[in-house]
Amino acid sequence: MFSIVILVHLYGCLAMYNRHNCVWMEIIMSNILRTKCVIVGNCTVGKTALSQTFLSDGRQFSKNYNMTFGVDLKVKTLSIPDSNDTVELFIYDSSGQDVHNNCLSKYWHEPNILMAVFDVTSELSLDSVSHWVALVRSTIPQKAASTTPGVLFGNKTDLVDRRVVSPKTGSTMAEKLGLMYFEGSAKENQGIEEPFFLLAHEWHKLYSEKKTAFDLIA
Amino acid sequence: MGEVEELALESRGCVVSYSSSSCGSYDECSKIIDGQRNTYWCTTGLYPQVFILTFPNPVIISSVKIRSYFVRLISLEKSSAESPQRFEYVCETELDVTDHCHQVESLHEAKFIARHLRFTIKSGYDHICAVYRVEVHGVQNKSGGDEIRDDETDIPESVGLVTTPKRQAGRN
Repeated sequence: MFSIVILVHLYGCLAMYNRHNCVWMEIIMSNILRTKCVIVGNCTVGKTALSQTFLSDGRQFSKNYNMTFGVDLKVKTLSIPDSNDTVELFIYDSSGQDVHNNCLSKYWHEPNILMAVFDVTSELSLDSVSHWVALVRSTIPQKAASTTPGVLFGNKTDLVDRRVVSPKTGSTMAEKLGLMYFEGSAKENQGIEEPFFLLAHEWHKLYSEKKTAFDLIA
Repeated sequence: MGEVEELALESRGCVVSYSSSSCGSYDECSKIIDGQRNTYWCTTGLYPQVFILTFPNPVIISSVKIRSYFVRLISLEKSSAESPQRFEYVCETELDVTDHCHQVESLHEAKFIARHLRFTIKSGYDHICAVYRVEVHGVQNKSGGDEIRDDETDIPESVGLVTTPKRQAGRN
């Protein structure tokens, strides 16, 4: 039977005494980095489906269309390999309806990372990505805007027959906007985690860089 | 009445009783009051961010200064209750952006009595920001302690932010 009896603050870290084994155990605490990730794109490209599949690890995919009003906020924690850090992603799944355009930036003021989504079966949704990215970037403070990591995601790749946007067109657009290109299918749970992991990783990297900058001017 | 001196120092019994984020060790935030200008506490993303300084006794504060980087809008609140609660607004300042050097700014210059000071960083010029030092000048309020304690009776529990750093650590 485990009986952990004492919890003390020892040499700047938490230590725990395990009476059963008569040993002191150090509790390693992870740093939690928090980041605001906004998902934007035209309506019905699958932004909500994408975030839902990611959040439920592919267990949940809604077959019906549920229009998002304003913004939905979801949180998922990812741990960064080879480090003591975890990244808490605050996912702001925004509505793609034009009527909400004016108030969207109020909901996700100053995001840290962005994900633009388009539908590979609709050229129009790819064309409006640049407008969405500009909208997000306009709310980020000047100093941070150039370093904001972003991803362009082509959704619905399971619809092979109806596909009109080639991966090449997608990645050209991503390059033009300074984003990284990914594609996959929320329905089939293909390629969903990669862009989020990449963004969490980029945020972790960015954080370390900023911290070095703080050290330098100390 | 004693001389005006620097109060926000660990060696004077001041503690950071709450901070909304910490990176590295969990008492990272004490670097704000370690008396050195080259150590810092930095936020871990998102705004607002909060930290509370608690003095061992109520003190008469005459000025509050901050040394930071990339902080934009910061507000200061005071409380003279036993525990950090029932905060009252003192001031709100928008700091200027600096490039490769610290922001050194005076937040407040008038006299007031407080036991706790709550700093809320409402926005920043970058994704994260850092606080290197907070300087609180004032006198230890030895005689005036009683009159302040008078209005301390019947403080309702669970008012305001009373989370301790330990509780935050428990999440992990």
